[in-house]
Amino acid sequence: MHTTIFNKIADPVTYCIYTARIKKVTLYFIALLLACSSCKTIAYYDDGTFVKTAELKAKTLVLISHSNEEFKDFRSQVDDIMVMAETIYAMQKARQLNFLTTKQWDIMMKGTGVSKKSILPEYFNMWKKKGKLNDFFIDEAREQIGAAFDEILKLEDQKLRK
Amino acid sequence: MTIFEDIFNAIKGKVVDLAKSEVKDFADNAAKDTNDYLQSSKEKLKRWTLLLVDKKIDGEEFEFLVNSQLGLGEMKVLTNVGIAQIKAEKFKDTVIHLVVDTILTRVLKV
Repeated sequence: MHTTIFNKIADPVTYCIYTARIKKVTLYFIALLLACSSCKTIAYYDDGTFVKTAELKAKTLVLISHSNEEFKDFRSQVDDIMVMAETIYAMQKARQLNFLTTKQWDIMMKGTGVSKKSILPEYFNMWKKKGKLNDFFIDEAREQIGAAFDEILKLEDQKLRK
Repeated sequence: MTIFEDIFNAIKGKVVDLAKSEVKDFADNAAKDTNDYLQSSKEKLKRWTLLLVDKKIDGEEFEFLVNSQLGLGEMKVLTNVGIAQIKAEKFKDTVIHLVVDTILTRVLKV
């Protein structure tokens, strides 16, 4: 049978005082621990963000595969993609404790740190400027942009569910 | 003092084992991820340089690809930092539950 430390105290009065004090301190301690467990350092997983980012990735990669064609024929689709990307980016900035994901979007949308230029807007700017892009470049860039989206999705997917 | 030693001994072994396995898993995954990134960067730079020399891509396109690879490296670091934070939170929650359960069992007999 399981015994506690209180079984070792013989005097009943001492026993009562002792156990009451210990139990009170213990309850405060448990309350403190439970309060600590609610201190968060990173945002919870957001299903809306994950789904929208995955959708943006799919649409972007399909559009990129058309960038060996004239930009002017795809201008409105590029605009739609950029509006969707800017919307998700703004949503990430607004989320609490979402610094790391926001930094990833900074890299994707405006360039930061060692990568001085953006990834997504820069690709579409090149397409716009050149009219059409060559297949060698498209294949390589498509892989890079897909991998960048994968990093954002990977971090979101790892976040704790509420 | 005996109470706390009793509780401490009950918790210590479990927490140490948990910490060892969590930290080791994370360190192994982060090291593998970094090695994969460095290896793929090396291969990509070689391939892109050949494409540039063969004039299959121009300087601006080469610069875009190199820049995107640098950005990807930064993103991977951010992902790993995030995963470390998430694991630390999970670990903290597990330890708190372990401590609370042990105290409830040994002191309050709930």
